[in-house]
Amino acid sequence: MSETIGWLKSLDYSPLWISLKTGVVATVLSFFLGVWAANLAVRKSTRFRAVLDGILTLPLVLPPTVAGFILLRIFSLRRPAGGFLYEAFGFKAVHTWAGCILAATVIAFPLMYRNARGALEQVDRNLLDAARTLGLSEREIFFRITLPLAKPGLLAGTVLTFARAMGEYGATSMLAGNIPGKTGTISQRIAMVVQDGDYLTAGFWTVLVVVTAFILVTGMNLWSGRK
Amino acid sequence: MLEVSIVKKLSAFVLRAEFCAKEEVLGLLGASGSGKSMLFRCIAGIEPPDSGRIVLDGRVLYDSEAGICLPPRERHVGYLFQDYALFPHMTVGENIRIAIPGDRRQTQESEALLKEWLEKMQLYEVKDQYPDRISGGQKQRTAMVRMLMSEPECILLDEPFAALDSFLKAGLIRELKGYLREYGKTVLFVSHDRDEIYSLSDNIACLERGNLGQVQGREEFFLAPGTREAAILSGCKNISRMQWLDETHVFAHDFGTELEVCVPDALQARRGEIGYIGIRAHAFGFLREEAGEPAGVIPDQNGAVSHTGNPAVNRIDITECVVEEALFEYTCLCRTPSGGLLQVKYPRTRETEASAVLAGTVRQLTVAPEDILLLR
Repeated sequence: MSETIGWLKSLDYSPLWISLKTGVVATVLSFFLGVWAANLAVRKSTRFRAVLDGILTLPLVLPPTVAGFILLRIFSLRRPAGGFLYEAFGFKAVHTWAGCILAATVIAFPLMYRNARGALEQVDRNLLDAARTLGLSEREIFFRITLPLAKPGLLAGTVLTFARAMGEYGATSMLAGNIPGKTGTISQRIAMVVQDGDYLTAGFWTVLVVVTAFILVTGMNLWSGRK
Repeated sequence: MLEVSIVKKLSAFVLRAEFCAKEEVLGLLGASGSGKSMLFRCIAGIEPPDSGRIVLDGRVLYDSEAGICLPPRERHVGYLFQDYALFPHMTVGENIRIAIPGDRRQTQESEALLKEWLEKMQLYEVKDQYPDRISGGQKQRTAMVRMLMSEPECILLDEPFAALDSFLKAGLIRELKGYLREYGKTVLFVSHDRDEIYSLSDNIACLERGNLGQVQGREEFFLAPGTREAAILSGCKNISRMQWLDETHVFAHDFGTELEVCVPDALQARRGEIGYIGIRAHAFGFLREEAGEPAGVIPDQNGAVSHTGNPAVNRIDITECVVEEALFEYTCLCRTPSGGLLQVKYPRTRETEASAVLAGTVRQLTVAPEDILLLR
């Protein structure tokens, strides 16, 4: 027993905090960007929407390593865009925690966008038209009618986005690398310890991730099930 | 005053509406899919027409030539949606409050006004309920108050009773009539139900496949609908093609009978345009023939035969008569010798007719010349 406790105490818990922080920040970013983009898509013509949809959904359908490689090529300090960002804002994505967030946001954003778009599309157009004839401004309509009515869909999207962002592996490992205590997320830690043959540690993290994911999804279902 | 003259191409037909409504209730009678809702959406600014002009009290809301198309928010046109479009995530009170213009919302004055209206419309008890927990009548009143709170310069009512059961309807129509009279500005009211249209409107026009007919006074519309389409919409059941025989006589092809008609002076000059006649199901009387000789005249509920007082009443032979009992009236389908069908209605309280018809002793129908509608 004391042996087990000692083993648990000796574990490096930094992956948990790194993953959580990355998940939260990437979810917040994806939420605002996703709702904004979805609102834009819902208002535009079908052709515009098809193109926008294609671009915004791409990271979801690409293999994460491909997305990660593209990000690496864009944000590398030796490339124009990456170099400029570093010179002008001191922003460095490669092998930094910012890279973790960037990778997780890019990969998880489409989930938020698609869910948000579905939720906004489901809002009864009649209600929005009614609000317009009542003299409400577009801003008021969005915040007081559209958003509250789209809440269940937005919540579901947020939970899925968080789960995806927290578990991101492929793109993160390409862009941010696996630097323990800095960019080493849970997924990367599991991959690493399995390579070392440390199945016990891998099992510990796996159980933790499975339990967290289960709680998240069940909690979401319970939340959206009540009225 | 609302002046509308618009054209909009829809998938099945072209919506053409040209009318002018003063401070009155203008009823637009049309079957579903006749373009009623689209007309309203164009006036409210939700959909742009293809071309034309909409002017409300001198304010141009839409003018395709001048390139003016105000957004709905600036039109001040109240729109009562068919399903009321109450915001489901807001209580009755919140639903109404949100329509108060932004700068005055939540002030003492507006809250007092809100309370006054809630009480007046008997909504005070349900002000904290959500729309899915209140009755159809309460929903309608909530939508009504919400619309009035936005201070519209004219009101559009889209089938306001369609979502209600008929038992509630009668009371609500009377209620609504009161509010509209108090409102005193232009009200457009569309419905497929002629009874609703008749009881609420001052003037009436009918809408058929996107074509808005002429605006007529409500009595005139129902008594002399003018066109065949208007007659059908106004509930006339018996319509036949016709041919003039002389000044006052026509031959009704579909009934296979000759009829005397009464041509009002106004129509004299346009006799040539008349191509149909219509007879309302309630306009008939029955003649009983017993033992080979014409006998008792049974007056219908208008006292038709006596209301004629006119010996020149038309007599239409019938060969058979099938009776259908409904709750308050009998409907008879009578066949003329040439095979034409006439639908005749009379109230159940008329026992004599009932027994005569049921006994099969009715041989002739009567109809007064002035009860025959001349239609274009």
